[in-house]
Amino acid sequence: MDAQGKKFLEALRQHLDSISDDEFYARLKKNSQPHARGQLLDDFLDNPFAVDVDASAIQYSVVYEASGAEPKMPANEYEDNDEFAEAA
Amino acid sequence: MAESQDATVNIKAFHTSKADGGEDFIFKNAPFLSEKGDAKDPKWLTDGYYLWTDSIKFAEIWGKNAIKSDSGYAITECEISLLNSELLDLVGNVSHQEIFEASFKLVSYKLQKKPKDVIVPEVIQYYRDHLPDEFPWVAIKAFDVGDGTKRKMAFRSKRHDNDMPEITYFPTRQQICVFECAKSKISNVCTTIYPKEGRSASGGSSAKGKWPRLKERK
Repeated sequence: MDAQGKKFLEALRQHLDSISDDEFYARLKKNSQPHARGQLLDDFLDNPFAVDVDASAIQYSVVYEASGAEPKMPANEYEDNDEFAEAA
Repeated sequence: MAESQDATVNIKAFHTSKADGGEDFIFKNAPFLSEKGDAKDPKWLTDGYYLWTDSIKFAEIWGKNAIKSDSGYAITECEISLLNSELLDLVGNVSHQEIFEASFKLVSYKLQKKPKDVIVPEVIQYYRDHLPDEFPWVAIKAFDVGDGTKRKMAFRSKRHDNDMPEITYFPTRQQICVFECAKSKISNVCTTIYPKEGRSASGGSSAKGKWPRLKERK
C-alpha cells in the first residue's frame, strides 16, 4: 500500500474516531432513503469473500464433468445480454 | 520495475449519451456530467463523467438498452490522461483494492450497531464530502460482476462434490468515473450517432451509424 493510501486510511480512522456512530450514519445516509439492500456490510465484515461467491458460476465445469462432452453453447452465446443494463 | 507514482496513465474510453443535438454538438460538449441519482438509482461511483473503458462493447450495449431518446444514442471515444496518483484503480491495482477494502472495514466497524444497508456510492460520497483533502483521487475505475457478466469459466475441474474450483469472469464491465474537477483530463477523439432501432440510417442529418457491430458476430 502506498503512502497516499496509508494517509487516507489514517485520516479516515481519525475522522471516524472523532464523530459518534449516530452522526456518522446520518451523514452517510443524508442523500439516501432507506433501501432494502441490507446485510452488505455484514457479509463483508464476516467474510470478505462471501459476496463474491456465485455457485452458478461453475456451471460450465459441472456440465463438462457430468456429461464428458463439451458444454453446449446457448444459441444466443454471441449475442449480448439485454437484461443487464436494467440491472445496472 | 515498480510503477512510478507520478507516471501518466492513458486510458481509451467510450462515453454513451443521448444523440440529442447531433454529432457536432455532442463531440464538442461530451462527456456529459452524471449527477446524483435518487435513492433507488444512485450513481455507482458518485458524480462525474462516466465512460466505459478500453472497448466500445459496453458503451454500445448501454446505448441500446438504457438510453431512452427518439434521437438514438451517441458514443464519443475519448482519451483520458491521468497521473497514477490521481486514479483510484479498483480494477487493475491490487494495492488500491486493499485501500478500499480497508476503508470498508473501518466503516463496517463504525456501523456495528447500525443497519447494514450501506452501498458503495454512499461511502465514496462520504469520503469526497468529509475527507476532501485526504481523498486524493479525481477518478475511480471499477468493475462489477452481475447479471450481465456472461462468461464464467473454471480454471480447473472439481476434485470432489463439494469442491468449488476457482473461476474467472470475462469480459468484465469496467467503467471510469472522472470527477468534474478533472474534466480537462478527457480529450474527445470522435463521436458516432446510432439511430434508434428501426429508423433509417439515412433518415436524419446526424444518423450516420448503423446498429452495433455486435450483431455481426453471429
